[in-house]
Amino acid sequence: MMKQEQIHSKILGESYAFYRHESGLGILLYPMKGFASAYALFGTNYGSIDTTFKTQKDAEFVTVPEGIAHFLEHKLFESEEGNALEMFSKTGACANAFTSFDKTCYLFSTTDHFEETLKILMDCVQNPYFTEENVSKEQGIIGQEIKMYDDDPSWRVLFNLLTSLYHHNPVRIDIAGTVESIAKIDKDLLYRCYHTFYNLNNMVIAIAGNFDLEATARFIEENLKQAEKVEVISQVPEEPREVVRSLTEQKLEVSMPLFYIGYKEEVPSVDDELKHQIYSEMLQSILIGRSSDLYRVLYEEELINSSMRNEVFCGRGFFINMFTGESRKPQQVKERLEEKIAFFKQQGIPQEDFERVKKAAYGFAIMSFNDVESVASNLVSSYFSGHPVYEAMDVIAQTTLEDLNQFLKNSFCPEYSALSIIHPIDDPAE
Amino acid sequence: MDYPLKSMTIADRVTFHSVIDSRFKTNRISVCFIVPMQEKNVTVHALLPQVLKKGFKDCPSFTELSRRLENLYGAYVEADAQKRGDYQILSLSITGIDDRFALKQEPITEKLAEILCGLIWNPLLENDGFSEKYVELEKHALIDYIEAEINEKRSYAIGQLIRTMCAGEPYGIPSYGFKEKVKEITPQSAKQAYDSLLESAQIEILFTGCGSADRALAVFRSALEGQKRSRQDLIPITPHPALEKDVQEKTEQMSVSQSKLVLGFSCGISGSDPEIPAVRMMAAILGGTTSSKLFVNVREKLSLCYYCISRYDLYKGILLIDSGVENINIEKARAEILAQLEAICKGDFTEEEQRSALLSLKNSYNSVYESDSSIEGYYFGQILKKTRFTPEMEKEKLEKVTREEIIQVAKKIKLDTVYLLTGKEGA
Repeated sequence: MMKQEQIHSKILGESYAFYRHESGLGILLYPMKGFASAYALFGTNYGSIDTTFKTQKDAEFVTVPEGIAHFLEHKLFESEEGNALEMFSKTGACANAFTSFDKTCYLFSTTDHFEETLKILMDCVQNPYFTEENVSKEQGIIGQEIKMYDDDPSWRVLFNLLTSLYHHNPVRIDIAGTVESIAKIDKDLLYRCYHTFYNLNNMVIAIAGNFDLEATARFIEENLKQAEKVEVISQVPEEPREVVRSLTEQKLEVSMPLFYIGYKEEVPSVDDELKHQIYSEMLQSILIGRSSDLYRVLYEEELINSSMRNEVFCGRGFFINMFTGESRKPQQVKERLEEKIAFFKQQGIPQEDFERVKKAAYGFAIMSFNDVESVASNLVSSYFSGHPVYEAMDVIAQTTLEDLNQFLKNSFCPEYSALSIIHPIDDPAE
Repeated sequence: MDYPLKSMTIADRVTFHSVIDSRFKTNRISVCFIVPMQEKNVTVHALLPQVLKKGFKDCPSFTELSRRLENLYGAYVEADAQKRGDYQILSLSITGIDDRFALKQEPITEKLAEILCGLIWNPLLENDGFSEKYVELEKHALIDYIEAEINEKRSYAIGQLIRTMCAGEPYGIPSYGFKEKVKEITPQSAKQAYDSLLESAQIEILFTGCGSADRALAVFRSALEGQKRSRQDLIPITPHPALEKDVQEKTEQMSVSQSKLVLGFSCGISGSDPEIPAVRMMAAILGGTTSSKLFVNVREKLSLCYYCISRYDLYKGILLIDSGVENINIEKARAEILAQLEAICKGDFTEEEQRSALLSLKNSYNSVYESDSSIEGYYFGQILKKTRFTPEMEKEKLEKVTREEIIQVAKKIKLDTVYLLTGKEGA
């Protein structure tokens, strides 16, 4: 039986169990009393950026085609018995899978037949079945998906920013790859990636909601395949802080220009990552959040509209402070934002603004424990980033004005920034 | 089991409802105005929630409001205008963490109710109208929003299908109105529309959360005191009439690499009709799950579509099937979709398919209680349909649906309109 560690939050009055299986797999179980559904994720610390890697046994690094992590995700939801989604729907569960830049997750939500469904999930992820025929069929399906993203202005505007900011880091490549790159994928490559990244040592199972803690821990243990521990070494290319270019523009069928502004930041150590994330979020709110003077001025001058959003975009080897929205004059938005950044860098952040966004950040952290889906997702991200899920509330509580001012000195730097714009095809401004 | 929604009439056609649930860490209050969808005021109505959410007399700017909300631990306000069948629904909501998490034991929930009441019943006014600044800004934002519909091709295609199919009916009116009408709105005309909305709309206030609703109720009672209210009831939900002419076809071309094909069917079953559970089963077997006919055959076996989904709009009695297809496959996909529907009419579906559909529908009812907004959405639906079913009762009705009933309703489905958004020649 695996050893259980209980992790408790005084603020929420809740706790969850953590287990480390002998294979290295992390298991996080968060029972939530009174909820009808259980939400389970089986994830691997493997995403689109992991294109060059080796294991402890390999001498040389290998580089695989772009988009292979996403391709694998599609293929694993298909077993010898057919499409996994069909099997899930036979138990009434709602299943899905996604590939991000640095992780791949398989998940389901169900209110019934929990163990049966968990078994399907575990079997799918642990039993790859690739044939030349099913790989070639998938190339057609994913080709369609890539085309759909080619039409999607909100997807393009993001990737044009990423290719402007990063020279070498694979965060600059499309998660699904290209029609050309996925054409190079074959079953042997898929097996190689699978055996490297889908070893339990590189994975996590997180479940929140309605299930029996002890029985589920046992059930997971019984359904894990014996596996040798593999240590994955992913090669993250050296990346200068300098950007590739400061402006990228494209025309697509949109009614108003879409933009992304990104500030390329230094990549924090694992210990500092959560702090940097929280500081960045607070600074973004103070700079241009809804309660800021800048938001009001830009909104009233109609340089931005309510689609304006900010986001901390980070993962293994990349960290960006991002601002996105629609504007007829994105360049001006960036200029005005940078005036404000310069002002705060010089004058410091006002105490009142700091107190307010800190309270808001605390409230958001509590709200993120309101439902099973967000709790389970929080567990996975916090596991891979190496911080317990409750730590964010503590970091927020401990953050001082001095911390923010200090962090601001070397972040949000205009010299390490870029702007990406998607213009309407028939832009009257030209 | 008791009906979890506790309701209390607090003025003519104004009801305060609450669902108290200790599992949540938040409280959410929504005020919904229900009016008939009408061309003459749909546009100004769509503008109102956005103008109202900018501030109120005691909090006269959006910046100040946002600061107050941040100080209430990141509470947030949402404003929306939507279409359900022939009704337009305007709503303002506020959500915040429960009082028990406040760092200095300050009351949060009562403050949330006060802010929401302020936004609705005590708006910012000047010169017999709303704030000119906010009206102008929101007019521009609404025009941009209407123009931006085209950015999302999938939802744009569904919107175009509905406009074509239900032309001349309230449901055929676009949810956010018309660009040209936005331009005509003045701060004064918006205020007049607001006054008549407050008087004539059916108003439903919903409280969903872990705290006590008593303080919020008292705040709303006092806000509504002395308000003039009309007693005119809403028209009931009516289905889209069956087609008496040929199937309507509409095609548009744009530079897209993937075409969108949307099929609209009439069915005549809507609102609280006893055949609703059978229709829902039929739609789920056809294309509502990943083991449905459309998914398994059209998407997986024949690879004709990237997605192909059916959904039933029970407020209008319409079945919609929407799909993303390559240009060369459009005709094949359309024929195959119709063949799958025909198969259900002939009884060509297995017990297994029926069971999967049932499980998936039951699962969605089981999930009603999983978030405050889904509880609110579910019970608001009951209010609109004038029914008092719990999710448990809905599940029982689904279980009783027989194979014959599914075939019966499938036979009532008639293709009405086909909309196609396709790539330009050579694109």
